[in-house]
Amino acid sequence: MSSIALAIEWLIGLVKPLLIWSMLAMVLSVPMGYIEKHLFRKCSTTRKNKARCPLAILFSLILVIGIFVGVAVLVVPELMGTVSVVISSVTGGLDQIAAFESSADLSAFPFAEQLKKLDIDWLAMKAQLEDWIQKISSTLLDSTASALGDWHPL
Amino acid sequence: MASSLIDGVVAFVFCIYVLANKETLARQIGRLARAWLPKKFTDTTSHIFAVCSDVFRQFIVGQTTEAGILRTLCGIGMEILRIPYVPMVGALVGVTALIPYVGAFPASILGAFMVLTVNPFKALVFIIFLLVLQQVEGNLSYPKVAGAKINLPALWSERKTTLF
Repeated sequence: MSSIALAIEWLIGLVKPLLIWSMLAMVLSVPMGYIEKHLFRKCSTTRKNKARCPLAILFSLILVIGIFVGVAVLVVPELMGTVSVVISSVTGGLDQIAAFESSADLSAFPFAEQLKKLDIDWLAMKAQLEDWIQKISSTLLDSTASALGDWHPL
Repeated sequence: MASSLIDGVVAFVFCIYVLANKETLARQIGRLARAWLPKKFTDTTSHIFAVCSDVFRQFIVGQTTEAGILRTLCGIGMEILRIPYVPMVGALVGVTALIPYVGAFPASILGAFMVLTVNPFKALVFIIFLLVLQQVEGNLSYPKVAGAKINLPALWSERKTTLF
């Protein structure tokens, strides 16, 4: 890598936290301004006026984090449940097909010859599917962890 | 990973400092600019920044209002059509509607998948319902709510939605 590219990379690394905090501050300033305007509106004591800004920051942080946590609490368990139901249905279905294929007398069916020629290893397919799901879930976990690390600790 | 975490923590701490002292910081930057830069340039720049800040604030408020409207309409519609997963899909639609341009499409894909596992016909109904709702929201409600917030007539907001 050339020295210019290295310098640019160094500069980006230096500016990145500044960009993140300015974006965060811009977004958080919206609920904060609203809360600050309406908090202790009728009180004129100095202590309450001093507490207004930190409390507004705290409440806006709680609001933003609360929205994301609330949605995650609603979505993640339902999604996990649905995905596990789908996986168990598919793998159970493959098991049933394999059991049916080994036990049933296919000569009684129409297109029996064609059905005999159809050589699919259903159990191997099930194993492949389970392996694929395992890989997908570990990749998903890894990318989520790295995205959380790359972004910010909110 | 560790450096990213440190970046994040530093950014978070700076963000809190900036928010806590935003008036003082703005005053100091203003004084610095007035001392070192030409008056006309300082006035123009501070006016541009003030307008940008106000428009951005109003845009966030408008987008949040719109997301709330979409989330409510989605919840009511799903209840009427007896589609399952109302709280989950409603919350997801509300949050993803905050993202400009992408809107509630990721939520509709995820919601359709969830409903599909319970009842495929209801999943089809859900997709049609959400497409209709998004068209209504994008062409009627959004230009009115968000356009009014940023002082843009509904007609131009609607054209912007259609063009981009």
